[in-house]
Amino acid sequence: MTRRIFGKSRQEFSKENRWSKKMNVDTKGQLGKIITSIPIFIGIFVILSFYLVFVIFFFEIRNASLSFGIKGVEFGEILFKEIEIDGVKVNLLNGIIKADLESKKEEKNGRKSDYMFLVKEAIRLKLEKELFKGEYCLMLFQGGGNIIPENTRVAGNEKDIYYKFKDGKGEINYNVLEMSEYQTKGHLNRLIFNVEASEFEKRYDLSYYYGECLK
Amino acid sequence: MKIFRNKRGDVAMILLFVVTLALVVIALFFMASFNSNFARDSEGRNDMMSLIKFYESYAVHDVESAVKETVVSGGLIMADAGLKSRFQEKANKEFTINGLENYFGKIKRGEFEFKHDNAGYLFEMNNLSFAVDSGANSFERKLDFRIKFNSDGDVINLERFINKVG
Repeated sequence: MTRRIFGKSRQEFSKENRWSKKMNVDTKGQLGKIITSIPIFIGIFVILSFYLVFVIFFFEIRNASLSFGIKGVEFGEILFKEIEIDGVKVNLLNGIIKADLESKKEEKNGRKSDYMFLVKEAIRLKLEKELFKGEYCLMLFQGGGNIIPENTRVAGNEKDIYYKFKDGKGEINYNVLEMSEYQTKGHLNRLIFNVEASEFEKRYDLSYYYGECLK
Repeated sequence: MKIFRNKRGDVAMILLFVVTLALVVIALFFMASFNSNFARDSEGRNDMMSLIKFYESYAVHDVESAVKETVVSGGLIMADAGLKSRFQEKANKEFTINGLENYFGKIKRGEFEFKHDNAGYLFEMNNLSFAVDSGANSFERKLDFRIKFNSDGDVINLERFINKVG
């Protein structure tokens, strides 16, 4: 029995497909096509290069608006650092709140509270014991916004804290220009929260930094 | 002499050029009209997230320091009930931080466990909820946490289980 391919005998099929094995290439046509394509591809390359250069420039100048840093997430333990005031242990944050409550109470009696001063001293003493070597800075500003508007606020005021620790010795730093760098360079963490107590309500807006001093 | 040209091939090449140009123009148009408020909006969400993180840190640190004070003030010789009420005294504050009402409420109502555990202590609080609202956005987190302390009231282990985020 003769084997059939696509309903045709082997001889018939082989005869019909003989021409398909022969390569019939229009070499000149292909060469022409390649030559005419070259300027088109060069054009595309130039346009894409222009596009890339433009995109790089565009993102460079808009860089600031595309920063997605999650600032303030790390509360740097500093706010929860325990300090001792008049024999009572409180953390720094509770100390700051308590200073306001004490101030309110003393105001009623026509006196001025020194609780915040005690808080500042306590955190200095606490950190002096921990920071033996190197330069460390702690700053904590209440009130938020621009921390040093036209040099009207200085670190030595009642509520703000600015300490520079050098080899275990902490001192108040009055250098306003140096402080402003932490804000302008975006090193400050910010925390906003509301506190309520009897006859007391306050919105706290803290900007703070704790770590190695900027060089 | 009649010259035969493959016009269809040229049209495809020219289209390639034109489409590339059009795509570049469209991409540039989208970039130019990109709403830069997007970054500012995400900053608001970051603030909400960081506030939730702050509430959580506050609660955990507050428990840690109140436990330490309770233990130092004679926790070792107290029964579990006495231990719990002493803890409530130590953790009680004359103020409330907005957003932490649930935490302060649970402390006041005694909705937590604080007991002797082997040679140390165990503190457990469940379903603690923190919520933040900012404009049309709101965010809530519910969590359980368990802290193991040694006999001196120092933290040995802290476990947190987040039940709900959103």
